[in-house]
Amino acid sequence: MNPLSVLLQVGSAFLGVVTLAVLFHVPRKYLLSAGLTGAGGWFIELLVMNQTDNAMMSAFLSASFVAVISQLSARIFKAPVTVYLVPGILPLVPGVGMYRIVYYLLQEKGEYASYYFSYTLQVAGMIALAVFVVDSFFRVLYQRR
Amino acid sequence: MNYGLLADTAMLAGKIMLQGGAETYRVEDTVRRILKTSGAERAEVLVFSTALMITMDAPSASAVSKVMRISARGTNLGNICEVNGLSRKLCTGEIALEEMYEELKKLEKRKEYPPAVVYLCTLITVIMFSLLLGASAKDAVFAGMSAIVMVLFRAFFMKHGMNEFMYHVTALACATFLVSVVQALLKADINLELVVAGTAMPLLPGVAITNAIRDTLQGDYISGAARIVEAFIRAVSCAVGIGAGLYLGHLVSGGVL
Repeated sequence: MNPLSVLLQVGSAFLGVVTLAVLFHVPRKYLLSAGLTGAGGWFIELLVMNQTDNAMMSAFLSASFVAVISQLSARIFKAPVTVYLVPGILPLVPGVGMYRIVYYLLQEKGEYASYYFSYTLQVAGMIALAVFVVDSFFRVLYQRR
Repeated sequence: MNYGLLADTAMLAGKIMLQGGAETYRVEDTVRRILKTSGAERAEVLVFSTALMITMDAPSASAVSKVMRISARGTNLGNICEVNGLSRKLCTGEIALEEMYEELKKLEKRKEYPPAVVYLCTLITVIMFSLLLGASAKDAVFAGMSAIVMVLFRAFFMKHGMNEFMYHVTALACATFLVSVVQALLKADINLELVVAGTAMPLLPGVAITNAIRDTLQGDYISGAARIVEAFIRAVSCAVGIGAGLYLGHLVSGGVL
């Protein structure tokens, strides 16, 4: 991995997540921490992709990272978890996969389209699983009442 | 204790949270906490992603029940924070019920960021996301162009209050169409895939997916299932828009397909 391009990528992830948080009307005081959460998640994604070249693994690990940091920040800054989780997760969502499904459907290449359909569902499923696992874990850890 | 006002306040709080895209269990929890401040013997809350029902009963007063239909929903995480904070203050007795009701009324109309900031942020988000997907500088320029189309549509749709599905389909179709035609005219060497995917990223159902998981985990299967459908419909609307744009672009300019 070229350090400069990694820095650039993580930087654009930060800026992208902050502006996205603005679109979701996240209050000003949480913007910085939300951006850092998203940038950290993208860094893990790059790192795991570089080491293993496994899209499912990187989706799972980076989403877990974002979920853990979101849960912690929510407790530190006394904000709902959603404030961090929603913008932080979005860079990991497989947008290109969705484009390719449509693209190959238009080209009438059904086998490619169904390949990307299952690929996109799997990545989305991995993200969902990560949020699920971390959520359950924190629920046990911080049992209320 | 003014039960009518309490019920109204609880309903309004629930409505603002649901419209801001809060998880169902969080809405139920908040509304129940507000109702419990009355010390009523029975306070039941039932929340779906499209409806809100409460009933309160105490031996000393007549029962109060209210039902509210939630139609328009968007994403406003700031309002969720605010309502959360207000209900916490109400429960600890820091603010009075009347005060909370007034605050909620104000909150309903409040905008955290002025439209100009939101539009600028749409532009930056789209460019940043296409860079994240691996776009070059030239691709980023095209992404900026398609983001401007998205912004124009957003402004138009907000003014006329049209539904989200139509916004996604028409805005993405126009943006994709424009990018593919301009690319073909200039014979520009860009990666259309990254530009279009970057444009669609902010519209993807991130909120719906996360809420679907968290509601399901909580045992709210009805809301969880409803949100999964919501996420799917949202993804389909994006896909239809992209597909229509690519196809039209191909017809007009013989661009990539």
